[in-house]
Amino acid sequence: MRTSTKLAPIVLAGALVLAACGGSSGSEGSADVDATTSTTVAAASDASTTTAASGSSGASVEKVSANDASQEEIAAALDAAGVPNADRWAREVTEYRPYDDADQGFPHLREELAKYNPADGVVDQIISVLSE
Amino acid sequence: MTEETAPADVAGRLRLGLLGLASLGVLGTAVELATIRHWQTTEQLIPWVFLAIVTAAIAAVAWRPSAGRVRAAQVLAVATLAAGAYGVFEHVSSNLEAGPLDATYGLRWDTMSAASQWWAAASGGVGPSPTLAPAVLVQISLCLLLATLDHPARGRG
Repeated sequence: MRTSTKLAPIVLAGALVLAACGGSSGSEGSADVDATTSTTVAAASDASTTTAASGSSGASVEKVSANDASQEEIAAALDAAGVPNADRWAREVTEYRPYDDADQGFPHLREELAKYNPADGVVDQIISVLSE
Repeated sequence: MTEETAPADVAGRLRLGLLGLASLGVLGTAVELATIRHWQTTEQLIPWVFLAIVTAAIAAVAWRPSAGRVRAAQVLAVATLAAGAYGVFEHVSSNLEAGPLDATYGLRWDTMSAASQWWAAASGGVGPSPTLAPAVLVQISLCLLLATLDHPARGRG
């Protein structure tokens, strides 16, 4: 009897955990996908941004340092390059710092971004605005 | 000729078995976390901290248990249990935030109901985080709590 009495809180705790796992809907907001501020990346004094010609069109792409640029700067660069949800992707870029494989095309970052099942070409678009 | 096993012996064996299962859980989880390099962000270090904590708790119960050690192990087990529950929530929440990035769900994400979004996040439809993986901490903690149930050391004061 005594054992079953003591067992009850443990069983209850387990049930609460399961309930918490499945019943927390609505308590947190959904994705924080605010439109990124359209501040100009090319803050003249910022050494973490560079400009490079890209693609056959010759359109210039603002390159930002994957290691040193702020999340906002990366988001602005991604936004300028036409990457959807630029703010959210920028957070991912900053999360997996530092990068020492920029010269190989950021294989580690590519691997991490691919886990999000992005649309075709999105990862390439993101990488295209990043430099070491 | 049958020998009856004293209830205390059975309880002792079950206690050892539960501690063994908890230890196996710790070992398996550590290997799993290591293989996926689960240390790249500060938050990813949380399960490592709690694996260390629950390991200490298991050791406290398995080696020269006293009333104080068993009580401390129970407190640590409850803390680890809470961490596991938080981990599940964190993984689901992280997947939820990743919804708009998904090639399949992204375009219609904003038109989906909150329940559908949460379901997609919890069921692995969107996001990279395995939702139930942190629940192994809950399982380990429950094994430890059961192993300390009516522990004889508690009676020794």
